[in-house]
Amino acid sequence: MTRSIRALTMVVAVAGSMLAFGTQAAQAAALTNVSWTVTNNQVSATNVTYSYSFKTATAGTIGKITFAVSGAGLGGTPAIAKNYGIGAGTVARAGQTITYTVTTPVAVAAGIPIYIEFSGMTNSSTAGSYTTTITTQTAASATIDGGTASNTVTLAANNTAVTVTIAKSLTFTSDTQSYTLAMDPSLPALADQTQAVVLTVLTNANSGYTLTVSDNATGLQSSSTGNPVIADVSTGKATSVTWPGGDKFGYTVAATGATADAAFSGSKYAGYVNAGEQIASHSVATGATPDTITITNRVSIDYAAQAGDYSDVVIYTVTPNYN
Amino acid sequence: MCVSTASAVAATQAAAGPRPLAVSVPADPVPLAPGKTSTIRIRVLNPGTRPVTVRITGRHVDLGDNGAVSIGTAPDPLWNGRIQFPGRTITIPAQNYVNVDLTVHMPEKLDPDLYFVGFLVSPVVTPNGQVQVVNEIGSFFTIDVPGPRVRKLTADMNLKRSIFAGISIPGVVIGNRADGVLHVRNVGTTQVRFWGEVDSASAPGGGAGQERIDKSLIPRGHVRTFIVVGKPAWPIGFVTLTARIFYPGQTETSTQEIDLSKRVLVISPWVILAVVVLLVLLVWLWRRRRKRRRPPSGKNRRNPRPISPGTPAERRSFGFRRRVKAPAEKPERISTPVSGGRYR
Repeated sequence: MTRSIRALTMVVAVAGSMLAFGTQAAQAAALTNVSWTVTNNQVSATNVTYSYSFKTATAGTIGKITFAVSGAGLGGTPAIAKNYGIGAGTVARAGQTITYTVTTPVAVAAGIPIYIEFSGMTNSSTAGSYTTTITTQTAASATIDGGTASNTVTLAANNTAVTVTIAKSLTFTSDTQSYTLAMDPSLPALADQTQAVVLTVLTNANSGYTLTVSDNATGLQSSSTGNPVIADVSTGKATSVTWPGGDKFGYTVAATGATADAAFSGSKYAGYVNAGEQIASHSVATGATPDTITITNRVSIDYAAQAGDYSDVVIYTVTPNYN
Repeated sequence: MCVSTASAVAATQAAAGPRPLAVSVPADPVPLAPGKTSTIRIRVLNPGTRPVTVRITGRHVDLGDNGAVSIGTAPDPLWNGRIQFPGRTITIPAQNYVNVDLTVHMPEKLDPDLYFVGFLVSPVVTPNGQVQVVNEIGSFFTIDVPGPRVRKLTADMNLKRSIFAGISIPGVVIGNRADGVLHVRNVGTTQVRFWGEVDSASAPGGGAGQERIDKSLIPRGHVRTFIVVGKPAWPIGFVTLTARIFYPGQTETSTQEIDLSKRVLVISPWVILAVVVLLVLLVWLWRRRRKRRRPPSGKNRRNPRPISPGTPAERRSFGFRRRVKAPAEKPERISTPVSGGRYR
């Protein structure tokens, strides 16, 4: 009997505490870290992007988020530029309220950072200080968190709207514009020579860049009778080799910051190809420190090489990657 | 000897002075409706200390996987005659730049999409030396023909498995974190700019992480690859990685979403090492304890255990239990009991 009474007491206690917690959960809490920024705070400015970020306070299945901007005169047709922390959805504006409706609501835990960016907004024509009250709701419009007021954004006619646009840019430098190798087969130091061409690249392209190289001839070619050539050391990077000696022309690549093609590892040399080949790349922006790519050109000759002037044009092309 | 060395050093002659060149294009797509004419500005810069003469020519541009771009050798037929590149060479003074306004005549009919206009900026070199070096920049700008369009992406996420002695256990990773690869593919007929996030959660220990993927372009038929990482809060724990890819629907007032989730048990190698050490220790202790209870082998041979009744099969099956449950055989206990120990 005593045990039955104890069990009953426990059941009542557990049920009571559950009810108490349930009542607590039903109460809407305030969102935290609420922030609102605009890309242009001039009155009546069009095509303005409004960015909102906040953290959820209560776990719940968010079906809608409302952004009620204070005052009057909000305009424009909003589009979703970005959303993080919340599922895909649709956006609509009615008067001063922008509503983001989640297509497939799913449970969102407490403390999740949410960021939503609306483009295509038109600022109010009335100067003054504005706030946005953000509320998270279920699909049935029951409040989960909020409404919590954001920071103040001041729209004014006599202020200076600052917009800084940074172009996608790339700087490419070659330390050498041309070179001549005075060669002589009688002395090893003169019969096998190298010339380093140091290329540097700086870019702010988020996906980095690619560097390709090509030439306009089949190896080094002479204009002498019969157009003799000093042949390429290989037919391209796919057949790169350790330097074999003899009458050959080729190059190898070493890079700092960028990634040189694996064909050149172990100081292997390749011949230039007319169609061009990618020799180095970088998958992110370089930042303020330039990437250095050193192309070491090498020519070796023996007495089989016909005397005369041999020439070539080597073209290095850098292309910024897209974001 | 000195003369010979001097000659060898002098054998190489390079034209002095670097030749830097820079090109800038608009960072974002330029909206331009079909049939319209507009001007798009590109900038060619000379950060060097000598003037540089360049030539700008239109080129076909090929976009590959993961943002790779290659510039073709011929102009793009789509823009042929619609964009007028400067026919003459342009000389840029040292530490200066030239803005080049390219007038774009949009075709009358063009589906809403992103279009890419490629060009090549090449320095004009004067023959000087046997090997000429040309450093040129291929670049492009993007035109957005506005309007509703059908976008379609697919995605998959694979977490690396741990292979130990040639065996891989699905859902288990030996290491300090779960590593994986997220592929996003454009399987539609239009170019897509997407964004997303990779959320990681750990159990036990909670802790949620949110890695954001910035807005990125995937040309149709191409793929973007991202490395995803999740760490457990404890040396052993379940890590759930959830990738969410967002991209605009037909219009930009709505978004589409792809959700992918993987859950793996991450076990630190230190945990495995600790378990192995513990097991070895336990086995050692057990054997030590057993050894202390066992009689010396010589004495055991001198006092053989009497054969208990029952068939050999019964003895094999119940021999161990029989020893415990047969107090009548107590005299057969020949080892000294350990203080506090139990006799089995």
